[in-house]
Amino acid sequence: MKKVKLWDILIPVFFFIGAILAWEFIAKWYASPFIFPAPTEIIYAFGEGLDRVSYHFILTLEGVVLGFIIGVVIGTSLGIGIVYSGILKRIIFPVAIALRVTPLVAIAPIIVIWFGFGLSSKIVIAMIITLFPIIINTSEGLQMVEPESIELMQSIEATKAQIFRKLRLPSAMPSYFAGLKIAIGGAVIGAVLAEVVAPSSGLGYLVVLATSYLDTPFLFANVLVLFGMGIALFEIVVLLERIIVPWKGK
Amino acid sequence: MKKKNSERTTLMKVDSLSKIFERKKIEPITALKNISFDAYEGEFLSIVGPSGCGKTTLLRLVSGILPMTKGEVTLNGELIKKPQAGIGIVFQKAVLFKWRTILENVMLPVEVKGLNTEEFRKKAMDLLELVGLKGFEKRSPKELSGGMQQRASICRALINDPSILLMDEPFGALDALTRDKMNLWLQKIWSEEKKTVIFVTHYIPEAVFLSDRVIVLTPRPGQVCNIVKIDLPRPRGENVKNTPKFGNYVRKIRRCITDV
Repeated sequence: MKKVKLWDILIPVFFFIGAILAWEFIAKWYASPFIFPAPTEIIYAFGEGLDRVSYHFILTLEGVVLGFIIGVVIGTSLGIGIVYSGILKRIIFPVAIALRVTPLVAIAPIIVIWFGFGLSSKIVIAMIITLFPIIINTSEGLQMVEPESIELMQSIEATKAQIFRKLRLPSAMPSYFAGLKIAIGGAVIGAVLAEVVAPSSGLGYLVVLATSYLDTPFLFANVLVLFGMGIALFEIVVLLERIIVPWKGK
Repeated sequence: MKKKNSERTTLMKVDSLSKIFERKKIEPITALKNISFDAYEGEFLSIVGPSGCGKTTLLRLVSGILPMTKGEVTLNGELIKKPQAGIGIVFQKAVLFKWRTILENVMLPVEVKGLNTEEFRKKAMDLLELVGLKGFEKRSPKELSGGMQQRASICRALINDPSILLMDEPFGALDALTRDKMNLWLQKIWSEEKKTVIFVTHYIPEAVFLSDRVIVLTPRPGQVCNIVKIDLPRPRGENVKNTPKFGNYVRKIRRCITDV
């Protein structure tokens, strides 16, 4: 691995500290907190609303995680399925692409009408976003196998199941995790979208609420919490990848 | 020392083998036409020919990976129709799985066959030692040079004790110096393991250096144009390449290819 110099870390750190300080001063002296709240005002609003934020944080996280897990399970199964069945591929692909290209903001109200103002809608929309990258990256990963490797497995009389387990599955892992990394961010978008379209609970609901009250510092606080949630979930996937795919990049 | 030709038993019999590739919209391509030869027990047999003459195709037919258009191949009297573990194959590329260590790669055929791993682990270690990879068994393939990777893949081909070893230009991707070294290794492995080897190459001196007999193929469609018996004492060292006899064999084979 390339050695990271101290300055390579310090310069970005100084940059962000400088940017936050500049933000603080510019906001304090030149802008109204309704339009551009200063970091200290955001932190204050966050502290004030901590109980509400943490309560709704859990509700959003629930939708994100459940939607993601269900999406991964279904997406992985379909991704494996289309590798082995041409008919399944011709059925799944148009549906997956249709769901991908239609703006989800437009689909979301339909989902809400069907699944109601609650957890189910969040799960379903988060799941829909998760599905596409998982299906694509699973099937492409499984097919990205060198023909020589298949011939090698055949030459030692490996069964189809063994070729899958010992060759296709491990070779698919880097591509699969690339899909997971795209999907986890999408799951956060999906759950919050449901909350914004049908505001009843969750951080998306708080965002809508803060906007209608013109409580911009609290709005910023919620956006930053969502940012933190997204980063944390993404990093969990990255960590899992390091454990499961240690040979990646070697 | 070496047994006389007359005492030798035939291990593999290749009988009037032909391969025609049929493709849509273009003329069928006859890759190989009427190839017949025997491989004797314990023999080192090379197949040389110009690029595109079907050497690799021939090896793939013989191994059962590719179906033939005409003819048949028997191993110990049994017809070969599909790939079988009794035939060890070394490919042009090492084809090591990067999620496995070198030892785990060598053990792959054992695992696939569901054999007793403990028993074979020792054998794998012995083989790795034989090819000079002792101490590398826990390494990842990417940490090894191309030549080392190819040696590991030879161990993998030998682990199940196949009755014949098929090698498809295994050293083609290596530089000339490494290739020479690999040839010395291979001669050593061959003399210790006492395996029948069919070795495909387009590099004539390599074939002469390693082989008991060299089968020379013509350009497409590949046909057997000559089978040259190499009568040089073993073990052969680098200096055998400077002898007039060696030069004569190389010339004889080259003439056979270029004349047609």
